[in-house]
Formats: sequence, C-alpha cells, structure tokens
Amino acid sequence: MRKILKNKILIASFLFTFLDLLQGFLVLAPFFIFLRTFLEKSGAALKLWPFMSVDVLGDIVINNSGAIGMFLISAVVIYVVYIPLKTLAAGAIYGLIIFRNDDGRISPANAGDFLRLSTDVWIGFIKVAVFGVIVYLVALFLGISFGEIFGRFSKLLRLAVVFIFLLAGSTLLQILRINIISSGDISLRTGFKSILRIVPGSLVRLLIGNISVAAAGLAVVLILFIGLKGIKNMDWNPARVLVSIVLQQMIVFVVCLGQSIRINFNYSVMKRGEDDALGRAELG
Amino acid sequence: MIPAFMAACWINAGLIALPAVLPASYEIRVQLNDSSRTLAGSQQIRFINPTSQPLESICFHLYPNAFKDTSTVFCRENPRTKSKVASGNIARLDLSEIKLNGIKVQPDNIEISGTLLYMGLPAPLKPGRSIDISMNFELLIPAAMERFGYDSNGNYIISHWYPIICGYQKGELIDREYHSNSEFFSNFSKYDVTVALPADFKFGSTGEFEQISSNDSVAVWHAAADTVIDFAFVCGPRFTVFETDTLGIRLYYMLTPNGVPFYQKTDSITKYSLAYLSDRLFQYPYKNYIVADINSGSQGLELPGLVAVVYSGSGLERTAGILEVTIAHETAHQWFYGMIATNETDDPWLDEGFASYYEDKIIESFGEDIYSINLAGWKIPISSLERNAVLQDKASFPIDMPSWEYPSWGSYSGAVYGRARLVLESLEYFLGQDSFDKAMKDYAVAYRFGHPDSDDLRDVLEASTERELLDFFNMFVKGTARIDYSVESLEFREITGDSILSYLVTVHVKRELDGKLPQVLSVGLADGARIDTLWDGRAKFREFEFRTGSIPEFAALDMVQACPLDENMINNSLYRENWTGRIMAFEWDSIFIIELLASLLL
Ligand SMILES: [Zn+2]
Repeated sequence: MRKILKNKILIASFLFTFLDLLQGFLVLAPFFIFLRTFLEKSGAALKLWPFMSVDVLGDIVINNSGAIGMFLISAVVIYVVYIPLKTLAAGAIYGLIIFRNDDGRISPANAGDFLRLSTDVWIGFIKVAVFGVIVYLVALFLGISFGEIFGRFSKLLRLAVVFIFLLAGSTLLQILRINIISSGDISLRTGFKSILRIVPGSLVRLLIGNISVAAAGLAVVLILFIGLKGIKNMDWNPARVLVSIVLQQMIVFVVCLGQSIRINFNYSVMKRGEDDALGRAELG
Repeated sequence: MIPAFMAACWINAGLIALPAVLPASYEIRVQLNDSSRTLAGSQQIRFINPTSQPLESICFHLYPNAFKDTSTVFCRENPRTKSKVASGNIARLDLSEIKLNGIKVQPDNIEISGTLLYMGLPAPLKPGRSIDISMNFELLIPAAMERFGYDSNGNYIISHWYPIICGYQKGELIDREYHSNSEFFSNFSKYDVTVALPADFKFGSTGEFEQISSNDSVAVWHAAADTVIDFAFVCGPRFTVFETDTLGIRLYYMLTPNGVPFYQKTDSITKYSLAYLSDRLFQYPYKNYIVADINSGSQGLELPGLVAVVYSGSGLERTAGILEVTIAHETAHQWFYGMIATNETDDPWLDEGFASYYEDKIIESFGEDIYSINLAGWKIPISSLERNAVLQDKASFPIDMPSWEYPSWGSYSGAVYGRARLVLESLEYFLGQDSFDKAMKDYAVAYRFGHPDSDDLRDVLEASTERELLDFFNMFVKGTARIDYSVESLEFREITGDSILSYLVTVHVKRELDGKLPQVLSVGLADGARIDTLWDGRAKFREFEFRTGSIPEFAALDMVQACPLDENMINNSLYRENWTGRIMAFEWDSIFIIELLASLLL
C-alpha cells in the first residue's frame, strides 16, 4: 500500500516536471529559432558558457529590439494558451496523488475517469490560478514587511520570513485545489468555507509539515546547485553540458517531488481535519 | 595652446611648472552660523586682466542663487530641484558693500542676470593691470542638493559658495548661466581663507589648512591654496578624520559613522588612483588630498584637492564596487578639471569623459571584477551594462556639445560620460595602447594648469602620434557616427595544378554604418596559423583573398573586441563550423530557468 503511494508521488513528480519542461520549451521556442539563425556561425556562441555574456546579450537586444519585442509577445501568447492545458493536466495529477484505491471513489487507474476528473475540476483550477496571483502578491508583501522587522537580526532570517509567507500562500492554493478535487465543487467560496472549518484546528500540523518538506527540498536543491555551479565553472565540453542538463532537471524534479509530497500531506491533514470537524459536530 | 599670460610666466618649480602670476587672488573671511545655516563674511580680490584686451566690466558667478526661487534657469530645467526649492529648501547669496579700489560701487554700475553679476569698471582695465575688489556677503545654505549644502549628519559641504570671478578661455569671457546639467569654469587663482566654525566642528579644505585659534564656542581655521581653480571646504560635527600619506601627499579621510567601516577600502583605492594617475599623466602637485563622506546631492563630487563621496551604508560599498568607482572617478577629476582645467560648461566631455575613461582603467587594473553585480556567482560587469546603455541610444547627440544643449540629464550623461568613454577607448584602439598613453601624457603635461578645448586636445594628440585625427574627431567627437563592421562570407577552394596542396580563401567584409575605423581582419586556419590583415574600413564592401596551406576555420574583424563602439560584435566573426552544441546548451539553461519558476508555482 505504502509502496503504491510512493510510486504515485514519484509518477506525479515526473509528470509535473515534464509539464514544466514543456512550458519552458514552448515559451522560448520562437526565441531559439531566431537565436540559431545568427549565433550559429558567430564566435559570440563561444560566450554562452557558463552563462551568456552581458556583451552578447547587449548585442542581441540592441540590434534586434523589434524581434525581442515579438518574442516577448509570442511568449506571453504561448503562455496564455498553454496554461489552461497545463491546468487541465495538473488537475489530473492532483487526482492521481489524492485518490487512494481504498477510498471507494474514482480510481485514477481508469483512463476515462482520469480524463473526466480533470475536465470537471478544470474551471476550478483556473479560478485558483487567477486567485493565486493575488495570494502570491499579498504573501510577498507580508513577507517583505515582516522580513523587514526580523531582517534587523540577520539577512538569512529575512529571506526565511519571505520564504515562509510564500510557502503559506502556496499551501493555501494547494488546499483550495485539493478541496476542489475531493469535493468535486469548483466554487472557491465553498473552498474557503471548508478551509475555515478545517484549517484552524490543523494549522500547526500544516505549518510544520509544509515547512519541513520545503526545507528538506531546499537542502537537496542547494546541494544540486553547488554541483551545477562546479560544472559551470569548468570549460565547455559536451559531457559537462550533459551533466549540467541532468543536474538542472534533477533540481526541477526535486522541487516537483516536494510539491507532490506536500499535496499528499495537505490532503491527509485536510481529511483528518474534516473527520475531526465532523466528529466535533456530532458531539456538539 | 597655452594662454599668453600664462606662457609668459611659467616658472620651473622642480618637476612641476606653475604659473607665477594668477589672474585673481582671494582673501576670504567668513563665519558659519550652524543654527541659522548661514555663512557670513567678506572677501577681497586682487584681479589682473588676463586677456589681451582692456576690460570694461568684471563678471561674477553667484551659483547659490540658482536655488533662490523656482524661477531660475536651473529650477526650470530640473523639476526635482524645483520641487525641493518650492518646498522651501532654498539657497541665496546676498552681496553688500561692494567696492572697487576702495570706492563704493554705485547700484547702477551693477547688473544682475540670473546667477551672473556684471560690475562696470570706472575705467577700462588694461591687459596685465590689476584692480582690488571687496565685498561683504551672506550665504544661506540649503539641505544637501546640487553639489552643496548640509547633510542629515549636520555636516556641511561648502562649494561654489562665494562670488567667483568668471573665467577667461583664449581671451574670451566664459559667463555662462548655471544650468541643471552644467558644471563650472574658472581660472587658476590663489586663496587665503579664514573660517570661524563651532568649536566641535572638524574641517578640511582645498589647499593647506590648520586651526589657528579656538575657545569654548568657536574655532578659527585658516587655509591657503595656490594655483587652484576654486576653493571649497567640508566641516561638521560628525566626521572622524583619518590621516595618512602617499607619494608625499597628505591624505585626509573625513568619514561619518557610515563611512568608518570602509576606511580600508577608501585608503587602498585612493592611494592606488593617485599613484596610477600620477604615473600616467603627471605627479599630483598639491600637498593635501581629502576624501570626505558627505552627501552633496550626488554620488560623488569633485572639488580641487577635495572629493565628496556618499557612503550610503546600504551595502553597495561592500558588493558592487560603487565606492571604489566613485573615488577613482573623482580622483581622475583632480587632473581632468582640477589641473587640466577644461571648460566644464562648454566642453563637458573633456572632464567627464576623461574621468570616466580613467575611472574604468583604474578599476580594471585595481582588482578583478570589483565593479560588477554578483548574481549567484554570475558576475555582470557594470561597465558592460553601461556600454549597452550607451549603444542602445544610437548616438543621438555628439559628445562634444555645450552641457546646456542636451535636453535631459540622461542624454547629457549618456553622451559626455558614457559615450565619451567608449570614444576614448576606441581612440586607444585606433592609435594603439602605447601611442595613446604617450599622447595622453603629452596632452596632460602640455596643459597642466591650462584651459584646453577639444581642438587643443586634437592638436597635441596629432603632434604626439603623428597621425591625422580630424576625421576621427569629426565622426565621433563632433559628430554622431556609429560603428558596425561585419564578416559577410567565408569561402575557400582548393587550388589545383600546384605541386603542394594549397587553398584560395575569399572573405567578404562589410561596413554596416557611417562610422569608419580601420579593422584588423583575422583568418584562422585549421593548422592553427592565423593571418592578420589591416583594412582601412572605409569602403562599404571589400573582398579579401588569401592563399593558404590549410583550410580556414574562421574570419573575424577586431577579434579581441578592442573597439567598444562597434555596436554588434556578433556579426564580427564567421566560423566554418556550426556552434549548435553550444547554442543547445544555452537553450537548456534558458528552459531550466522558466521550468524552475513554473515548478515553484504548482
Ligand atoms: Zn565626473
């Protein structure tokens, strides 16, 4: 049972990673085509490793401002088109994480159910995505304001405060999505109602769980980053490029894994909270 | 050319030639009232007509009056200053008891126009003859803005503060209104200044200074400066003064609590800059040099023997090298402004452009990558960002233009600081490093304590290098020519019929824009050899043919990228091979950034 669960989380993480990879590729594709046409035979291509030099970047921007504008527009258009598709898939992956076989509800193993689930919750997920912009802005604002207070003691503490607020925002959004899937109700208002009913009792558990997962993820990501930096500090060669790409994808995968574990964790907390709340209601 | 009155009276004081007779000597006696923020006192000037014509009048700058109300030229040109003045932060310089040779000047002999005051003389002043002028004045000091005032520590920077006689250049009176973008111009003078300050104030000034008396409430300081174009001082209760020596120069670092932690950085860059410039140009000739940590309204401000630098305390001093760059820049001004006293109002590029050029040179050799933004190990050189910003502007204005003709601060600084630096670096590329360095030294020595203009500069450079520079100056100094060269094609074929295998390599190059500079065309061969050919860069297209022993790998113009004015370096080289692998690696990097951001939002 536990093994299946773990595999589900791994599969979900792979799927999330793939969705993000696809997003990066699609958004940048027009720029890449343009880049190749004039860098392919220029010595400037030698200045792309470890990072594009400011001179090359400057030459591209200064001499192709019109084209750069076009790429920005096309990137936004591709993003806008891609996000609903990604949301559709993300709904399905949330379902994959949440539903356990012994729940007696939809089995995600069934492809038809999987698809139906995604389309059902799709609108709800898009609502959450739009609402997410506000949540992150508020979280950032609060994080920076509170960080200012704690920042007097140490810079690291300031960053940690901002990070915790962003994590809280992210957790809120995850809980909203989880609620949509488990209840099948795409209304955000219902989502908030159930959050108000359940979260206060489980607040400490939610905080500790999410922070631990995020901290563990961050630690692994940092280690991978140090490796990436080490590779990037060496001269260019195809083998090193391959290693750097693998490390980059591992970093993204670790982030996605952390997200999947948090989704799973938040779901179990919500479920327990709901049972508790029901229990209290029955007692009352 | 050295003005006649000066050339006539050079004396040789050791290594440094000083003009023996200066057109003006000032005797100033003032007292600072800290509570009313005023400085009151008197000055006596002996003025000698430095021109070859009789003078009917004498003109004074009353710079502080640019901030007396919002109707001034300065305020009309600068909304930021205007709003400060409108909110009551004003300055004012009031004169009284004006006398010529001891006789009171009648009001109808005085004409005030903006920040300029013209005083009619009772009889024309013949060339080389002197006149004594005396006056009382009172200065109202504003909170730090536009190059003077008091800062939040209660310290003062007192510059351009007394009635200053307008300078003469090549016999012509330079009576320019104080514009928002313009700085200053005056002739070398002698100063004897006495300042009474609250007893707890520290003091530092142009020239040599000492405390001559003090009691419980007031301390009197005396300063003397010879052959300087202006006199300024800093004072205040919140300075810690550090003293040290270098190259026989007494150094004073007047630091506030924000600046004290940066004593060591201040010390090393100041000493390095003075040594660098003394070596490249000529020895710094004065006894003292002061770096004062005070907000003058800008990041740095140059004054004779004294520079003001803002130590923000924000940490920029620690990371991006802003502190080092500012001190290097303002120290370079000691030469390009202070001793090679060009006209800052009419030819601002001759001081700002040169200060920016030498600032860059100093920082480059001082420490690796100190002037850069560090993004998790990716160092972004700020001077590259500055170059990009300048090139982005596509040379809207020439660099040699009077300061007030630039429509904005951005266009002014972009041209006279940013683009001028690139022009000088391109000139260095054009002349070659050694030849350029020698020519700059020749220019500096020729105009030490002189007032050269752009034509004088060109004359010295041409004489020194024996190169014709009129075209270069017309294109890049007086004009707005832009540079971009490209390699259009690289082809080769085997030459048949020879006993040994050889190839005919054909390269097509192109001049994309109007600017013309010679270019080195390099052709790299598969056997590791490289053929370098000089192209004069004048024609729009040019074909080069080479007979080689092996096939070509690449063709490149200005391979070492020594000409920063070239707006597009990407088209400067053409390789036979494709760099697909390199580009793909970069593409994966770009995807990773987007991917990582997206994954955080799940
Ligand atoms: Zn400057």
